[in-house]
Amino acid sequence: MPTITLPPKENALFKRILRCYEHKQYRNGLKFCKQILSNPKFAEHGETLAMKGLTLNCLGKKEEAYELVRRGLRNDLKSHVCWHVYGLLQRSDKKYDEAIKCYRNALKWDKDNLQILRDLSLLQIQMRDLEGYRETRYQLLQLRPAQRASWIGYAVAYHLLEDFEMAAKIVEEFRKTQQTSPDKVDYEYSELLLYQNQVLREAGLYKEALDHLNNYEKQICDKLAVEETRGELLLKLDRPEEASEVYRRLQERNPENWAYYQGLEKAFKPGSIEERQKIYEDSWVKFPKGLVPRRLPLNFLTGEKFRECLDSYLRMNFSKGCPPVFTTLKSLYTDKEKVTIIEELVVGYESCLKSCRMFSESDDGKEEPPTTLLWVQYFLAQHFDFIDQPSVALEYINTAIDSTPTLIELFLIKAKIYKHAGNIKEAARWMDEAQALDTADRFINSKCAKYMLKAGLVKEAEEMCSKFTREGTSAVENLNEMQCMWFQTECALAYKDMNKFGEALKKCHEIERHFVEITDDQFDFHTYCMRKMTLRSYVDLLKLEDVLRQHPFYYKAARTAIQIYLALHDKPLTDDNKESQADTENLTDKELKKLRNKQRRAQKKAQLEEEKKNAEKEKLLKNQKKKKEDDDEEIGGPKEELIPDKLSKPESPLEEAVKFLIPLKNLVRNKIETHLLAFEIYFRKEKYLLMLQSVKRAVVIEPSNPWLHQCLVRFFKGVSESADLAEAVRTVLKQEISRLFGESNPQSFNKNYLSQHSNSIPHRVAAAKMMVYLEPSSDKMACEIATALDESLSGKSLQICTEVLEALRDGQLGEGQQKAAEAYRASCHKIFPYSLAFMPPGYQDNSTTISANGDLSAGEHDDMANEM
Amino acid sequence: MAAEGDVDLDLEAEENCTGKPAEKPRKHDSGAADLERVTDYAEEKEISSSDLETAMSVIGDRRSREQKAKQEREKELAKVTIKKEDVELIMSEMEISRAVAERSLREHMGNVVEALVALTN
Repeated sequence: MPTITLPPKENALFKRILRCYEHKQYRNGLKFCKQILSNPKFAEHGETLAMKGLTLNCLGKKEEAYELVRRGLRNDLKSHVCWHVYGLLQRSDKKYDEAIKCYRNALKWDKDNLQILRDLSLLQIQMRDLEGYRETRYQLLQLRPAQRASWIGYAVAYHLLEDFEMAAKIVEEFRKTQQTSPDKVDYEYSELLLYQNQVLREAGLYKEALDHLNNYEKQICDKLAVEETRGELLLKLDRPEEASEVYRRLQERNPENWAYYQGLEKAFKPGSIEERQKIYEDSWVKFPKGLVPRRLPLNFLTGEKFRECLDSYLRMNFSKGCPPVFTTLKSLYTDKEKVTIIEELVVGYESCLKSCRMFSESDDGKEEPPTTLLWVQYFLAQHFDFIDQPSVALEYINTAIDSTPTLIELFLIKAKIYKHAGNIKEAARWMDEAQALDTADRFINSKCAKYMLKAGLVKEAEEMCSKFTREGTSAVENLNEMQCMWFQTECALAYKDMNKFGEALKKCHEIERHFVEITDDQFDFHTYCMRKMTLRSYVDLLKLEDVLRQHPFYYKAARTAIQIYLALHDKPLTDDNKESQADTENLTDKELKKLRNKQRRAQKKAQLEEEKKNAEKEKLLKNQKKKKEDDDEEIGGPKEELIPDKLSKPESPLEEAVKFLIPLKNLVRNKIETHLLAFEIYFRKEKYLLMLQSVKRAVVIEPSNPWLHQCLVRFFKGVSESADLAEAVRTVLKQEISRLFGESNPQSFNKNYLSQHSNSIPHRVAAAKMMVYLEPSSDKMACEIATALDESLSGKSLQICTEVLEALRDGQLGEGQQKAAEAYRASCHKIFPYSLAFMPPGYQDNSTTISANGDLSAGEHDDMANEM
Repeated sequence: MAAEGDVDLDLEAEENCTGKPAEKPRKHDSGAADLERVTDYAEEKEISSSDLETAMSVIGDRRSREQKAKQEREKELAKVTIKKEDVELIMSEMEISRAVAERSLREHMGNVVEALVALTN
């Protein structure tokens, strides 16, 4: 209860303030506030002050808002309005936990206030306090059983808690209260029915779901969803004949949908390959132009049958000129036999088309247009690129380019071949060539920018992108605003390669902020979707948001950030980095540690001072901005600025790394890299149990992974040498170590691993590195193991060879391996002649370089690129 | 005043519009305009039906059973005695919050080694 009661006139004004606020008429709201507050009797009226603050907050005056709301609250601590307003203010500031506390306080003074309960429920669902959400929703239902939202919200709560039966029951009770005539089209009712059906299916009540669907079919607008669901349910209920009919109908609608063929297969349950093929052969007759019925059998057919089916599939595509045909076949390349057949067939086409313009000499008379040969060559270039034969690939693509020098796709593939062969500069050059052929094509423009970034040409890439970004702002800013994450990811990687850690981290953090923003954006949909009854999409949205950071964009950014923070921990940046690096070379480990601690402390101090300075600067800037913004109605949520210099000198790099790691640990558990990155962090933090957790999880995924092996050895050694661990920790480690390693020691564990995988290069490299790690004097032997490149060894790749060369150069395989490194480089150069990584010392990239306007200009950027 | 309190402070983000013509012509150059409308104000729709009571009764019954089961489990867990230093050890070794550490310790009947092994799985 408010302590001061306003007289009727002021009370009416106060109500108008509320109305104005609801309807976003903030200026008017402020006017009414002034009318109340200018009366000296009510100058300190708490609720009015609070409302004035809240209104000002919507006009972007956050500081003033906080001041007023807090003053209002102090004046009237027993007012639910003041508490509610304070909660709303905190919520707008994304301080959700605080906001929940405020709402709870508000409810203390008015426990049945609908609006507060509603706002509380929104925060609970946003924070995924599902139990709490259900409680609040229950209260709302009790208070207002006549409101639609009460029922729907309560049902959704049960749905999210995975009590599907209860959810279905609530929806059904609610549905009964909805009076609709069977002939009227009511989209919202239709959505409700589909939602109810989804819940029934998730509850495993297939029979009920099918009956439900049949009963209400007429009132459901989304006919396709009805039919697809029906097919799925009939399959589940083991009624194959009816199911096959449904899928046939669906096939008529869209013969290019994979799912319908899968549905048919499930319905017919073919017992043999022949029967299975029959399903598709039927479709060939029915849909002679259909590509999917020709493509799908390629997954299960083998030998001659595969060849026949492939033959007709490829001919259709080549005659038509279908650029992505290679992409559609890529997934077959895991099968060596199929790869051979593809190669034979297409190489055969090529020679025949050249000699007699037909796919095969036995074809009678039907000549192909010249473009067919072009697409065949285009395909072959991709094929040989994919199976690591860049020279052959280049031959094909060059022939194609000679015949048709205006086709963009050809240059794109040429660039790709160079990229895969390890020469990204050449690749970027050709991508630029492609881009120059059509500067109005945004796809090729983006591709070109991406390649430029991979080649370390950040400025050029920005310029390239600026052709499509909004005029008047810088391209980089605009791309950030548009959440263009591929660009930012590549930027981060480019900066990382140039050792510009601060810049790289800035990009990673920007990406992280996009994800925060996406999570925040869901807030408004909690009310919107329930009102619009789009519950299927709503529940999908919630589920998506739950695992949002699974997204590759986040993963890449997090991985890059973690790698950088690890590097910064191992070798913190100082202002005069070069000098200190020279000093450290002659120090022992202990001295080094001391020195680093010292450096870190000094850094911290410097940083604090810097921060002070910056804070002052910011204040000044803010004051200037404030004046500007006075008339600006937009809400400016000022975030802390990301300053590269500051980012590259974090107080605790490992803690920063953990922040990026946690979402991966929770959401991407099935990826081994997650646990290996985790290990690298915890290893440096000397957290043995968390290291244990990481390796245990990784072992389940891929026990022989080379990186994991290095983690295991370091872990094993670390544990055997560790002192002063807590008793419980020691017990756990002892128990788990014997489970992981048996009766063994790090040395023999490593040897064992080597002998088990002695013909795989990546495994050998891992074992060799660990040999040196465990016993520095064994470097000679380790070096031999790691650098072997015999034909008989598997796993040879550009990537692993580059890794070995790096290890030789940076001492991971023992100090003083310069000679070995040079010899290794030379042998790799023979295997990977295009790769920049293995070019002879003093190799100069003399050819032309790129500028963003698309012409090739002689080497002016070269020096710069090389320096980077 | 208390009764009027009900109407207080309708949803912060909400606004007018449904039904009324928009005051300003909206720009449709991006999704921003549509996104803006997501936060529009709207009256809650009411159900006009009379058989709400039966519907309500179906729900009330189920709820009380469920709560009991949950409370019992919580009670059981609360009975387990745990040591403060064990909780703190788990917290620092596994870098998790107190609540999670306590819970796992209770679930393993206060056995710190078992709790730790489970947490490393």
